[in-house]
Amino acid sequence: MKEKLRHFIFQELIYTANPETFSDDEDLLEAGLDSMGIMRLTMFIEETFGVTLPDEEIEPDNVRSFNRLKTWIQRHQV
Amino acid sequence: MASCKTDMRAVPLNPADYFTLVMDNEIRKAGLSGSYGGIVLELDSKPDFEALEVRVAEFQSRFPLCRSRLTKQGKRYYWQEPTKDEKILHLHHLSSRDGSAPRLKEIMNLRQPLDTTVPLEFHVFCQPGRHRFFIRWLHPLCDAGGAGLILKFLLTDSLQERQQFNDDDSPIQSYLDRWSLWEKIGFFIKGKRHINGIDRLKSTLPVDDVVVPEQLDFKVVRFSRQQTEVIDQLARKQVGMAAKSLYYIGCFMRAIAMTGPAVEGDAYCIPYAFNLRKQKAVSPVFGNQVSVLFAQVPTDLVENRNNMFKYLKQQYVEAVRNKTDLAFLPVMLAGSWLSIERYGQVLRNQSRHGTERSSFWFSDIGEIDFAAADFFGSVVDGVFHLSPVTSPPSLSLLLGKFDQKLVMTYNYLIPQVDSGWLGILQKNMTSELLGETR
Repeated sequence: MKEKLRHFIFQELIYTANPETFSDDEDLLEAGLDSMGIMRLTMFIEETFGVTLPDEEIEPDNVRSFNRLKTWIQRHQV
Repeated sequence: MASCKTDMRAVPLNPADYFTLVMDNEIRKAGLSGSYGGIVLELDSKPDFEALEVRVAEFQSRFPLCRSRLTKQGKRYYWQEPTKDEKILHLHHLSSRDGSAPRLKEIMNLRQPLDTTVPLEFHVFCQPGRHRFFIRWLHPLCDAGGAGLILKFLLTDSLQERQQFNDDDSPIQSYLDRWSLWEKIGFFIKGKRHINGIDRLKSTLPVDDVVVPEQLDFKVVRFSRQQTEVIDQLARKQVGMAAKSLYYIGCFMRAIAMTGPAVEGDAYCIPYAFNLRKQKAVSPVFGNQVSVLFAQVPTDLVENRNNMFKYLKQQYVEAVRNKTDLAFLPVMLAGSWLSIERYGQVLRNQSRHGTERSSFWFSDIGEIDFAAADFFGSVVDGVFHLSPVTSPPSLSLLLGKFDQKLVMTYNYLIPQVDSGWLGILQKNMTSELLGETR
């Protein structure tokens, strides 16, 4: 799951010189994930992992890092 | 846009560059200057001009496209390599305390033929008590994100880091390249259907075009850090953290409705550019790397603030979910094979009514951050953006955040937009942003 997320985020949304050194706990918002990026990421997650993420849960705590994203997605997987 | 090399000869425009060229054509046809973008840095003292000259010379040498000319070959446009060196950095000594504002307007309103216009210029204004650095670019050259990168290049002290700026890996090209012909056609149909759906409702316009526009004027409105925090909280409450721009757009729709638009339509419609550049990337410097989304709200829904934001958000979620955010790319690609006049008729105007689709132009530049804490020895006190606009809608709103403070620039055509109307609009917009209305 994290690999797919990493690929999408670094391929489409954020530039970082060394994606492999970007840890799973590092702050994605600090790294440049902006509002449009979050929206596109949310849609990517819904499509790729077959979950529906409630709009009211799109908040910094859930999207701040790869680990937080994983937890958020898993909470909605049946 | 194709890669910029030091041995450039003729560089073709990308589909989004064409989109801005169409707008440039419309602006010129209205007797105005053209589609330029502007970024202004407000400085506390005179910057080290000699050091700036050296950095600009390095930039020119690395990116000769910045001093090229737009030329037409058949129906297509290209950036043509210049035959001589161009001066792109200008120093203005002004005696009056308010001298730079009229000079800025003068430069933004300067009418020059497209094929002799230098697409990028830097200006330093020195006047008693105030100094400004101004970047003006011809819009087919780059978008505001690219202009931000040019500024970042100038402010990057490390040569090694400056060498990382280049013109490769155009996101717009990468999207178009990854789609097969049939995928492009599929997106094109989806994009056209979406636009046709939008065009069922005739757009409200703030001004009519009975009055002939004479020139662009602008007004900068700055918010305090505390006001910006209030606005951020309200935006998050109304549209969530993933759709913040919609808060500004919705507030502006309501502000216009309260002020009284000249042409009452069925809906407010705002096409807004959606940048495909990766955040924090320093490449590509040039090219418009944008697609377009539409925010449209029927007029009667604008009256109720909560319902309006609910509607805007739902529309946005559906657009991203259905990938209509990317569907405009093949539409722009197909349009770039038309003459620019035909392109305007087909893609810019409302298909059913033949009238202007945009109720106003809008751009949210987001957080403005520099590579350095100062600008060649001067402290940067503020930043704002400028943009000409077609007539109609004759009004654009540009937003950015600098030092955690929101700054907005109203760009408008005079005398179509009169100062009294604009004053009321600005007051209404501030009340809307701060949630003082219901």
